[in-house]
Amino acid sequence: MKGTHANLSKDFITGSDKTDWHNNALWFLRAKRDIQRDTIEDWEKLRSTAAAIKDHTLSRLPEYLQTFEENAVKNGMQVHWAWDDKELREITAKILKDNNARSVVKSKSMLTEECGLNPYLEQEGFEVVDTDLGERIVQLRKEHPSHIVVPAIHLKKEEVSDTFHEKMNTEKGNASPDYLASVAREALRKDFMKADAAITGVNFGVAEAGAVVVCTNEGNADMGVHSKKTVIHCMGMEKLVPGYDELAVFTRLLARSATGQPVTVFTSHYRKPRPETTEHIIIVNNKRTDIFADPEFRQAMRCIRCGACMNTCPVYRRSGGHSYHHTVPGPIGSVLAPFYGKEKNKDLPFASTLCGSCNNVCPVKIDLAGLLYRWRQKLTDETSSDMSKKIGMEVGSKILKSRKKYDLAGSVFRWVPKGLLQSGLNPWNVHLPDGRKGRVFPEVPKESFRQWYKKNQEDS
Amino acid sequence: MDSKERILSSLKNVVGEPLPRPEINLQYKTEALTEIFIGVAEASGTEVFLATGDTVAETIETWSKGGNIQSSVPALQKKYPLVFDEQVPFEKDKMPGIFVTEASFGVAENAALWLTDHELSSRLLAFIPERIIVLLKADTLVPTMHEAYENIGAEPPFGFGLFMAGASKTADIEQTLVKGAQGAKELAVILY
Ligand code: SF4
Repeated sequence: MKGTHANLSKDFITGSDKTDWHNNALWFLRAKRDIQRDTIEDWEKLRSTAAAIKDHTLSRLPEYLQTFEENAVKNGMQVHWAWDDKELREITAKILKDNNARSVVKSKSMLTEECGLNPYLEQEGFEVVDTDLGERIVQLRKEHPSHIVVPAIHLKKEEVSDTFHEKMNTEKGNASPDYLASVAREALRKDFMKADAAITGVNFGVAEAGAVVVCTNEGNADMGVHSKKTVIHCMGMEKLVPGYDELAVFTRLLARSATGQPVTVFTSHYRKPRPETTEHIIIVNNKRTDIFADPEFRQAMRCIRCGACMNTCPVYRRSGGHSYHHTVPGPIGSVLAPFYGKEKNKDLPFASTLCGSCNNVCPVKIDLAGLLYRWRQKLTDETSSDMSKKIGMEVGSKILKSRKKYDLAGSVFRWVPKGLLQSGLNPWNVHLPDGRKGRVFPEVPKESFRQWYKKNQEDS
Repeated sequence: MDSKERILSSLKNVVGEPLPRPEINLQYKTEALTEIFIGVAEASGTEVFLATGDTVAETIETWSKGGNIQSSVPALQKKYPLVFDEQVPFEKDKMPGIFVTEASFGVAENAALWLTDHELSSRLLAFIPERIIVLLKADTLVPTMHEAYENIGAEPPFGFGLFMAGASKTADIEQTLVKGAQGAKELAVILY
């Protein structure tokens, strides 16, 4: 059972002291989001409007995609369509080759991450530099983003300092974020100067304007887009909105939900290429037509990738993004993942308490907990079952169905010696490498709740 | 069948009934736009100066502390000529130390400033200089992004359009805010 969320999170939870720290770092974002929410009159109406706009757009997606393409082409953009990840990689490599580009500066794009663009381009001999600071950090460490908005949220500044020392020769032990960011700025400036082409993701595609919108705080997307002669924007086809009026709703929601800022520092609208520049938009499917075809799950395509569901999720916060073995982690990632492999991702919808906190923060009101619950039912039917879980479930169901068996099981349990329950024989207990106990089975109370309640009722 | 047709036909097969385009009814009466704008801008680290038409130049001079100023604002170009050259964008000698431009309007709820090719003259100028000054007429302020995009829809179409809401920043290292991640390290707005 390697590679499941439960196994992958074990290291993070027991092998490091990061759990509480990570939990607090994410909650900090959630708390900032709440402050922003309170500055908006009618926040809930804003959310329901956003959900309705996305549903409308999806219900006319074929027309909007065509309108978008027509207008973008009129504006001088070149539009390509990619059926899957492979086609996105190939189109990108071809554009680069046709324009004699060898090196690329890339701004944040979970889509290209999903499509494995970087490893492919590198294998084809291109040099790729991620320019978002968080993404650059994980790229230098040969890791993947652990969060879709804050890719290096799983790392402490000391770890960043060590990586920079090793790769960029910064002062050993200097972990000041100001210092590290300024060194990265200088290094990236050189990469921007050197590169032949720029690649970006897309936050919104505006059908009626034929424009793509990219939101960043660093300005890194623009540094590439406005200084290179070859520019490529990779856009998932669910990113469309009809027009500017609708875009307004989303620019109000995105940054507030994501990081608790009133808006991202830069909201860039690319409509027409600069003179002598070729600018491309690649519209990408990669299984989105499957999600679209499923009436229950189509609402997952409303997602604007703000990350709020991750920031609030008690499981994500304590287990870290790398425990989810899928590009997009957290609640929305676990809803999407089975579309990319039911068998290999069947554990992910179970990596949730179904508490519903994600539903409450999602700016486009996706019923995340409901969809995770639905996957659990479907996947139990549609994938192979895990034997120990199956036996456990059967035994459990027999015990729970009978009052007598339940009482008996409870009292038998109470007789198991504490030493045995808290020993290494019980897989629930985890020992840290230094011998300390990481997770210990709690002591079993002497009486059941039923017994306690009865006694207290009699006493009062 | 090429991928475009394949995507469109897969979608068309299952798309179902179109849903109506929703009414967006989220505008409320907002007063004290200037106060809100200043509060939000300062909270995100932007310096805001109040000036009058006559004192704009003086405010620019004081804040710039004698750096190499270049401007795309027609009325200021004589005084601060633009020597930046898009063809050699990283050439140090041509890069402004301080770039002065004027936004066509500002948004109170998030302190965003709307800039297009028209105001910037070179797109990169919104990103490459270390210090930027944006002039903004107080009477152009709108309450929210709803009114902002109404304005944009009414203006002649842009090639590149930007909402800028502060200096470049990052919090990618342990959530610690660092100003000047890639673009400008400092932003000042002169409201007049
Ligand atoms: S599902 Fe909702 S909360 Fe989660 S990333 Fe998408 S839009 Fe944000």
